[in-house]
Amino acid sequence: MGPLGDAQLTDLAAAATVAEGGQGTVFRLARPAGTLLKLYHREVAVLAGELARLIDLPARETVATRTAWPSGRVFHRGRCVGLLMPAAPDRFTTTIAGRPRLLELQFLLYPRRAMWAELALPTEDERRGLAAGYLELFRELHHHDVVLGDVSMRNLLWTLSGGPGVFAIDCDGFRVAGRPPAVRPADTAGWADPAGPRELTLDTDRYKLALLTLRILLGNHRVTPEEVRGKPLLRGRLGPALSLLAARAAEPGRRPAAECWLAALS
Amino acid sequence: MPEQILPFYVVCDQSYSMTDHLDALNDGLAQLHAAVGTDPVVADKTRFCLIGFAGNAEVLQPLCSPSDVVNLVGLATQAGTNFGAAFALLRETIEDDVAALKADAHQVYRPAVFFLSDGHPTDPAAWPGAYERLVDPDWAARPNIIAFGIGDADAATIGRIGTFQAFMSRGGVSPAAALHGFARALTTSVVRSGSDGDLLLRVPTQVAGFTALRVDQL
Repeated sequence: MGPLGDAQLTDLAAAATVAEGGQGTVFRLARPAGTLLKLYHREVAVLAGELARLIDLPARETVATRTAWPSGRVFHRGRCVGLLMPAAPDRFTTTIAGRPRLLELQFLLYPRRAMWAELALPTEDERRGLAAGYLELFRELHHHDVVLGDVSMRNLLWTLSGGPGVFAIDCDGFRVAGRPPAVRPADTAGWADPAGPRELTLDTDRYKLALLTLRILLGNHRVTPEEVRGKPLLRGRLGPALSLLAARAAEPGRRPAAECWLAALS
Repeated sequence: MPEQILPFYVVCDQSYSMTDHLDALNDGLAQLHAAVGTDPVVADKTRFCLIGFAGNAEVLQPLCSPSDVVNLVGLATQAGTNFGAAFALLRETIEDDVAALKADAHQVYRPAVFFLSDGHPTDPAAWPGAYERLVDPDWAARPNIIAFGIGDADAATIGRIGTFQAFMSRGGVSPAAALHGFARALTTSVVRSGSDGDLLLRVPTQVAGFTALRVDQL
């Protein structure tokens, strides 16, 4: 979806509530089809200028099929109160316990439980394919100097339908390196950079990328590069090339770029 | 594996006056369960228990990981509205549950109780004593209580029971609509609290169909 431009809240008709999150509520619009409105909670600070910058970034074209990149700002009484974005394609949705459910990253990182017993989970090869999908997405964004900032187990989607595929939603926390984000993302617990940087940079992204890759491959929501470095059993499961990258990821400033992980996976 | 756990207790009035609303309430609880139970992060950090009360109180769903139970036991109406029985059973159940979680080496956060009633207590002299034991400041596991009143519930009583927040359904709002708001607030609370790394109890300050009551701070 290309940029839709600015819209007035009063001109939009919501067809259904899709999700309620910490930052805002997401609605499906009656038109245009496949468009979502994210309406921020009143207390959320929105940098309207940074949101416009994000919407106009050339990077959007290269990741258009893999992200719900914001497509327009929404104003009410002169204030930016929300954004428009495309809905995730249907293949990133499934049915669990009789309800439609996005195929969120979290399902890959926790043991199977009775409530989602019917969910088809990836094989080891498919996990490598999904990890590679996220790595390629990060690589493209980093190539354009775009920092993702936060990795949330709810904002990264996956599918096995039509082959392993990935999709990122809630991209309003993305920013060009050195710029503030339009909306400050949460610093998801368990995904923070232990070096505790003041600003999120490509290096912090690379740490989160290491967490993402290792956690998908090992099916474990809390494993870290530091833990892999200290546990021969985990290194044995990953093999020498990935283990070496994990060790480097534990050292701020030496963290491997996405292409290093991709080479080790291929 | 030891985890940090936030236990939630939903305590619902199932007296005869709830008969017409029970389907809506059971439906809301099923939706809560589906939303929470299919969210691995939240299910991992929370535990859920359902207690129904009328003349007596009973644990309908013992404390469980919401993703391990596929079908919740529903509420069924009986005679009486014995608040004291509900509070006494809550105290006993929380005591046992917290001890069991700690025995499994879990770190347990202060439990949260969502209390819902549509009427006046039929044990006006007895319930305050049981309530005082539940909120006893010397009891380390005393829960945070979020109280909801619908229909004929007394706003002063509901306001007194809620230690954290209290809500009273607005006049003109149907009990079904109020219960929908209750279930949604419950779901939002559990999901937001459970997905927070610090496991803070996060209850919406406003609930559709309800007026927030003032809760005295100690």
